[in-house]
Amino acid sequence: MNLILDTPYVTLEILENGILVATYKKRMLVTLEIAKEIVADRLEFTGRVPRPVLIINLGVLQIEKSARRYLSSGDGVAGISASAIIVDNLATFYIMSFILLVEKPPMPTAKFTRRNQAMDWLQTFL
Amino acid sequence: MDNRLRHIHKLLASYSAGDFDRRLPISKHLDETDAVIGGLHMLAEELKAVTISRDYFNNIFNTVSEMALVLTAGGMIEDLNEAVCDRLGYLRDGLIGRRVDVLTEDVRPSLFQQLRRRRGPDGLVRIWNRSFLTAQGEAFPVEITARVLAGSGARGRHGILVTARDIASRLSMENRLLRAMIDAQELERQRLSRDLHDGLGQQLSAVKFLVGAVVKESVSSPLREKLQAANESLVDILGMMREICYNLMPKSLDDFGLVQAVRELAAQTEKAGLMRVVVEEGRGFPTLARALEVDLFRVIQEFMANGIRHGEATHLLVRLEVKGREVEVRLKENGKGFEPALVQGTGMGLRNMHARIKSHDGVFRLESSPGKGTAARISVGIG
Repeated sequence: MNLILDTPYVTLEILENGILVATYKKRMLVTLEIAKEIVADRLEFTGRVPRPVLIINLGVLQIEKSARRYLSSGDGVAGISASAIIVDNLATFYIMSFILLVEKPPMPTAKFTRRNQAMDWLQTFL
Repeated sequence: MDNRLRHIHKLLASYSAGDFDRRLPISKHLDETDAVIGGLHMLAEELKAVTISRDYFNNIFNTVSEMALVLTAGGMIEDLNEAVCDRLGYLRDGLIGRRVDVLTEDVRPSLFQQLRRRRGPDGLVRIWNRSFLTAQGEAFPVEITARVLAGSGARGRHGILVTARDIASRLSMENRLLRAMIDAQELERQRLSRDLHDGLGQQLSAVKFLVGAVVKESVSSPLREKLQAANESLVDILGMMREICYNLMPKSLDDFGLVQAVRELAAQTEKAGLMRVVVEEGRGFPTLARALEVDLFRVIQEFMANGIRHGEATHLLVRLEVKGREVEVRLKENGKGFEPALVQGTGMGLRNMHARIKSHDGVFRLESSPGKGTAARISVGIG
């Protein structure tokens, strides 16, 4: 049975193959405080073992600039060896592409619209 | 069209115009459209962080006091700031699209060649002493710094940012200093020449007179021969001393003026077998102010010495004439020549010549190219 942690902002699940799935909840405005809480919960849940992460965005409304900086900083990506982001609509997909281009996360990061493609890509980092 | 979509279109139009501060309210529905709006807000924040507006850039570009030009990789002027127009008197549209070499004097290598050849490993080019030409054709001394701009031009081609600092006041101060040094040097030469001539020269003449008298009275033939030899040596020493005095400050310059002093210099140079010198005097060449005569003489002397020392010249033509209210001196030798741009600002001799003429508000123009000898034209107003 997979390990699952449900927080007010994100649901974390470690799959049998070791991939961490982080499902961000709907209608969220991510501030810096929330971002720090999300990272702290993730690290505690995974025991700080680096692993690939599948991020599912169910409709985060906005991530504040300071939160974006933190999430792509060394502290924000601790315990993540690679991340695949699933974006469910094309507009957000292109906006996210630009933001990732600017923020330049320090680990392999890619965006997908389909879960199975994202999982195939993450398998290569196991 | 959905009202919120209409607002999103307007938001995108604002962002594309560089207004990245515009925001749309997130609705109470908190739906997918709100997520897109939130994404666009994030996009605007990032764009604002990485983009500077054209107005912002223009303000900086036009506020700097140095002249700044953006060139294409091929040397065409793509952009320029207001300082270029203010200082040089050109219209902006008159320069855009033209080669940067239209701004420089007709000196080889061209400015663009220098920019290409002198680029250091850091992509920087520094050219210490070059002149821009104003729209009125006057030379404007500048110090140039250039840097390659990666991806600056259309389609991301490389360009060159050229900044030029006005060094007219610095050069003027340097010239005043140089002038003061030259004046002090001339005074010292004059004093040395006078001391040698009046002091040592007279004493040597007295000794020569005495030795001559003893020679006449001497009955011993071996002693007479030795005294005769001593007397001849004294004649040589007096001749050498007069030559030194002449080089320090030709007496003929004071007694007979510039033309005669130059003729004497020519005769001495020919006698020493150094080069053939032809002196031509135009009709009515006047007696000039002493300071100007000394400076013109020194410039001719320096030009001649350079021709012999560096150019291996064997022939020199000196022409002195009056043209309207100007005296003009033309010098032309047949030496091996050189590339003027490569020696700009390097030799004290050349700088001295420039400074001497400049201090009389005159113009000193030097022309030379490898294998074609060197020529100079000096013109100075005489009031």
